[in-house]
Amino acid sequence: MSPVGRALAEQLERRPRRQALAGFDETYSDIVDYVVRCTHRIWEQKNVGLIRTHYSPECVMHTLTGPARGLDAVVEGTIGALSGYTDRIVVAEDVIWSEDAPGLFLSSHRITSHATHMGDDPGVGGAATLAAAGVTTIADCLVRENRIIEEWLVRDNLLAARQIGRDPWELARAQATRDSAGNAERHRWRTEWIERVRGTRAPEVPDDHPGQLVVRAWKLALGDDLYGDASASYSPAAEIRWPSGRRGLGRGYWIGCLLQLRSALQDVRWLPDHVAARPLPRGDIAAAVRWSLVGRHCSGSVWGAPSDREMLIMGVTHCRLRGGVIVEEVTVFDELAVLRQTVGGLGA
Amino acid sequence: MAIRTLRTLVEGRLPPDSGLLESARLSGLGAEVFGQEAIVAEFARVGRLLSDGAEYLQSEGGLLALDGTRAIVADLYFQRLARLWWVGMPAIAATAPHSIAVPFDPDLAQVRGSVLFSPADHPDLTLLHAQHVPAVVRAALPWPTTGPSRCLTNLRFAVERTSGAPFLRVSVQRYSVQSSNGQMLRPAA
Repeated sequence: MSPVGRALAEQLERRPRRQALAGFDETYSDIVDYVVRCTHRIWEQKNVGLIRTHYSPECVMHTLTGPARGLDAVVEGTIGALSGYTDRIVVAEDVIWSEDAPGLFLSSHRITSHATHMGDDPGVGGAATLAAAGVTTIADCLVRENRIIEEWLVRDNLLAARQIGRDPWELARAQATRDSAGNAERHRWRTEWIERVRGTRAPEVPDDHPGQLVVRAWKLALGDDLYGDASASYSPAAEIRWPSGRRGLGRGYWIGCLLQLRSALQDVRWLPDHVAARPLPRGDIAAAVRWSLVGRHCSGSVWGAPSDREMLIMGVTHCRLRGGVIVEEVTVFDELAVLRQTVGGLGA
Repeated sequence: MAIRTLRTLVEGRLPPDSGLLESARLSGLGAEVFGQEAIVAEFARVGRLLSDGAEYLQSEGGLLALDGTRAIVADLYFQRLARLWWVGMPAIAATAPHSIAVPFDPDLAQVRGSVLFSPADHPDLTLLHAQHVPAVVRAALPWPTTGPSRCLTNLRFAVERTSGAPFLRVSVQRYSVQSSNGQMLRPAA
């Protein structure tokens, strides 16, 4: 059952099992309940140790700053994040899921958080500021038998940095400086990812899949530069939410967001990595598309002077469909990690 | 329930029984706040926005409170407030100073005429209702563009003809762009 339109208390009500979930804890009634409830238990109730029963020992968590491998990495990362923002509330905005094989689920969980920067944060935050922060995150999790095998996490880190008074460019340069030290092999994941995006055919999405509307629009835009045709999939009044506080209405605004991104990059390749869709209350449909974008940073833009580097972006786009058009889009990617790449970070 | 919830909110108090969703958003004049606590705080900050004489109209999916030139529009799920827009109200305090401005074409079959409206988005809307849209938009446009306008200012407006009749929302977009020297540029009236 979608969390859309439902109060938190209702989402967390205990219910009997209502979906076949082989190997899952009896606590969970369905895959949405698994995602929402275990997030609540780990992040809000601070039972971080549950990660050891909810992630597989070989789990990989992908972010645009590199993969984290294994249970200990996930536990330590969660403890670090909680210690900086101890009052963090994670509000589930939607969970869009698919069962890609019997018992193998992919959930795309959109969260908007509230938190106070109360403790020192070794990552983006730095020394505590007591500033209020709250950004949107989308976590795509591949789940089997109660355990997350693989996770792709996108967070609006540039906005998070600004909310606590940090200069994103200064942060990105500092991170890039650290990246240039030590063994460069640790950044090999980025070049491998870029090679995969360059060398992989886009997966087939059935024409009757609701997510096809989103995939087609983005492919027309970033694959063929046919922005006007692409925007026909959007309502003239579509609401657009992009990272770093971009908010607007309409096809023109959506195109504006894409052009801002595209104008920085040449020789681009956009690849949809996963597509899912679920019904929403009142007849709408929610679609989720996780994607990768590569391109050469050849032009001066919102991302500064051209670096001539091959850039990588991982993003997730959630859309609300109504009457065959997109009426709302939420796109999240880590723009701070993009800046970090433009100033030489994250390896070759 | 939804009307009672909105009335409580207008008084600056947290509505009972999760009548205001934890994931609710409040938008107005280009700014936005997210979440139950922030929304209640915002209503409490601005004081009573609607008088006792305000008119409340509700359909299955929406709620409109009208009070002279002021209005509050809400999206509903299961009688709960999921999304709120202020129309003709004071600016929301939580501005959006951190946003990256996006240059965009406001005339992509949208704003010339100042209307973002497609009948296809409103399948229940009859032609008769659609004819009222331009008048509604003209009425909405003169509201002052105050508050943050770094890149985009927008408002939405909604009307319901009579109880039980189709619910209509019209989006109106106004815009301004910040030039590289910090000067605010606005289109000619």
